Amino acid sequence: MFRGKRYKKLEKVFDKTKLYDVSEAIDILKKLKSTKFDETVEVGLKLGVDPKQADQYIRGTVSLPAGTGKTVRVLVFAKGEKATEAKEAGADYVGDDDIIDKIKGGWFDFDLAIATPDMMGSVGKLGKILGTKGLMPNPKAGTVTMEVDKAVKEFKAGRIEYRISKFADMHVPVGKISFSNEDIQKNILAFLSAIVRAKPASLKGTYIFTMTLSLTMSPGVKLDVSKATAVAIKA
Amino acid sequence: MGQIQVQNITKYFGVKAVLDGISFTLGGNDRLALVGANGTGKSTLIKIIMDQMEPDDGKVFKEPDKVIGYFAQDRSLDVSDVILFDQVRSAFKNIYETGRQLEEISLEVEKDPHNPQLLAKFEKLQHQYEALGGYDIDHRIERILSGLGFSKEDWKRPVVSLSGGERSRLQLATILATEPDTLVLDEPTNHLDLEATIWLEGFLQEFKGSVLIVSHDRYLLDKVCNHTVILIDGKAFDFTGNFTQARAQYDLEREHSLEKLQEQQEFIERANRFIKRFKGYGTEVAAKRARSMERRLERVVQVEALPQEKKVQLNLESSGRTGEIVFRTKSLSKSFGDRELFGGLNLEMKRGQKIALMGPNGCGKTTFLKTVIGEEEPSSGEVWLGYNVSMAYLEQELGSFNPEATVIEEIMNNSDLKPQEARDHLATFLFVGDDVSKLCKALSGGEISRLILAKLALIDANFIIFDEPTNHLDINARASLEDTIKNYSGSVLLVSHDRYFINNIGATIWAFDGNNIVDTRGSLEEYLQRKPEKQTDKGDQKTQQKQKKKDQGPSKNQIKSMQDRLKNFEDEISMLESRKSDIEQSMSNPDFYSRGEQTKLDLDEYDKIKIQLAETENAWAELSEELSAISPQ
Repeated sequence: MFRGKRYKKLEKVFDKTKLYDVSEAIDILKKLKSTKFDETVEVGLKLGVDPKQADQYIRGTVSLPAGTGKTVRVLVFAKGEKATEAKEAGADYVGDDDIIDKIKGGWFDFDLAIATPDMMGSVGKLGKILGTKGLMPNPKAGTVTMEVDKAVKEFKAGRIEYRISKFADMHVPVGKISFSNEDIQKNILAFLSAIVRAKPASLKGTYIFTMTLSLTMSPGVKLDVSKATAVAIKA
Repeated sequence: MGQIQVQNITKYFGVKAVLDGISFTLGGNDRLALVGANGTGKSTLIKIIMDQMEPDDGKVFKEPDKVIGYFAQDRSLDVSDVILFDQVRSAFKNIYETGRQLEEISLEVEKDPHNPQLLAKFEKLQHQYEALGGYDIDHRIERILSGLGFSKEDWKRPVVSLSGGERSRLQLATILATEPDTLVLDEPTNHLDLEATIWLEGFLQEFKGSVLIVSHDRYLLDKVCNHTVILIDGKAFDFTGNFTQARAQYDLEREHSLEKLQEQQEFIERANRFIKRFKGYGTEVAAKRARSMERRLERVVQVEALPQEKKVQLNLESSGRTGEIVFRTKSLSKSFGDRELFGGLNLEMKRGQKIALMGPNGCGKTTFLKTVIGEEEPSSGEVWLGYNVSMAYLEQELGSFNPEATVIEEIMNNSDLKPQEARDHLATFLFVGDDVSKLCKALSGGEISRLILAKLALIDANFIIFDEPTNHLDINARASLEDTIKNYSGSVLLVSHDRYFINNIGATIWAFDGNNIVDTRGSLEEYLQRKPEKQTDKGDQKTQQKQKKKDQGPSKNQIKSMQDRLKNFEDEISMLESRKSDIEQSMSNPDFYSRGEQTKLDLDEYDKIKIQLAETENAWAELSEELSAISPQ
């Protein structure tokens, strides 16, 4: 694979073959910052599950204690009292059929969609549009709920959704490189703890094969899986 | 373990073992070519692999959870008024059914939003739909259809309106949309046009998975395959490499086996002579030696020579000589409804010419042939046939025989041959023994094609028209047909997408260009070189982008780098000039020439600097000119 000069230079900053502790890896990431923008810190996982099996499909949400560092634009499909609740909780867009028509017309100025169950009949018709973009509300992801106010607040405050790909890997943003080392570590451990808790009971063999920490534009720093999960469980 | 393991497969048809202990493995990245003459059981083996037929012995192991995409040879489509897009969709009934259920349950959730069981059911179904790729399915179908050359307008065409090649492409699209890990393709290029075949070659090379392919297209096999299994007389011969490499390896091994067989036969003869001679001596010692030799003979394991494939012997005689012009079209045109297939054609075919008609599927090649032979009425214009032309036409649809007749009856009904003459004639087309008593409807694709060739060889003609004659012919039969056409003194007009075949018979190309047919007056190679390539695939787009960038001129970074180089040249020139002037100054000193070795070194350096200076100044001038051309400021 072609790698640019900048990337090759960054690869020399650390030992690519070594497995690091979470704190060591964060220190390295700080040295890897090489762009003009505030890069996102990302955790990459390769899991030993079979995503085709319904009970091994890892998906859920987790609240990052230090937030994501990103403003999330939340859309809520709700009507009546629930719509008012959503607006008061800080949702960026709230509506029912009017919003549905707008989306059908190609409008996508939001990062997350939440729906009350009583809206799912209408929202379901947007499956082909929202589903392909990964924006379809889902009960397991906490985005199909009657408690819209709570959901809006949590997602705005840094709740993120994680979901395994069909190749059994996962890439999740856990903050910005401008965060302090402690905040990044807190977020990583919160995410890992959620992943460890989501381990399917039916799984035999290794659960997490590899774990990597990287920036938007940097090489990945490999983490020591056993040490990192042990710290996450304690935390 | 490979993705497919074929172990010791044996299959009998009657008392004949069509497959006799076949074993091979299809690995993760294998591109395996399964080749052999027609009737050697390739399609039977594929059916066994695909669980459509039970073997008499042996087993096929397949890796669990791997999706196998099967492209059958007998590709019958339900050609009702279903449109093309819906035809592909029909392969995903389970996904669309899950989608329908999801919609239903969404409505139930809407009515009863506080029911946790209902919500859990909804969540499970949504996950199932997502895992099946339900949200993405229409996009996936669109991508594949576009990749296979179907335009957006085509998606709404009824399947019934598609040509043979287009139907093949449609079926390939249906298989590819299932995202298979392994592809099993049985003669995939039959009915595919040249562009689609070239596309398929590229696709198979890029395909991330294993491929098992049965084909007689030598170009395709050589370009795509890295593993070849040759089936001869029910046995499998497994080789690494593409078809040509495997064929060469097989021929070499066969030669060795013949040599070994000969050596063994010579030894047996020698041994028998020895035994006879020593037994004749009548002494006990001699008898002992004869017995010892007998025992040695008993231990000899009979060497078997590798079998040789049988070849079709086709002999075409031109009956009589035509005039200089075989046929001429005058403003010929043909339309079906509003669609004009060709119009205003003024073409001329001369005696002895071999012409291949090229064009994409559905453009009207077969209609043109049928208009020439008079089976189709032209919409306007006319076809003028030359003096003494007698035509024979081998049609694309292989149905011009009585399915209830036996092979020998079919030949005798179409000729004046007596039974024994008919048998002799059929033997040259590899119909021997009981083969001649087979019903036409029970023949394999290859046998039907050979039967039609056998009928064709009986026809007295000096102008033969073939419509895709190599479809269903095996590689040896294709080679025989090539030789026959090459040596045929009459004229030949044909439609074929087999590049080896067209090249080998040295045909001139008539190419469809919209609704016109152009006489390129050149060979296939020349035609392909001249033909402007469609810029459709990613590679072409990349090349286009690169060219566009090139056309736009150098980027800011490139200009900056040129400026830096110019600056470096200037620094170097100034440094060299300074050193040159130093040496010149010292040269003006009278003592300069009395310093012995140092004088020599300085003079050498002076010469070198002069050369270096000239070179650097030249380079600077060139770069400076280049830079001022692109960045005048």
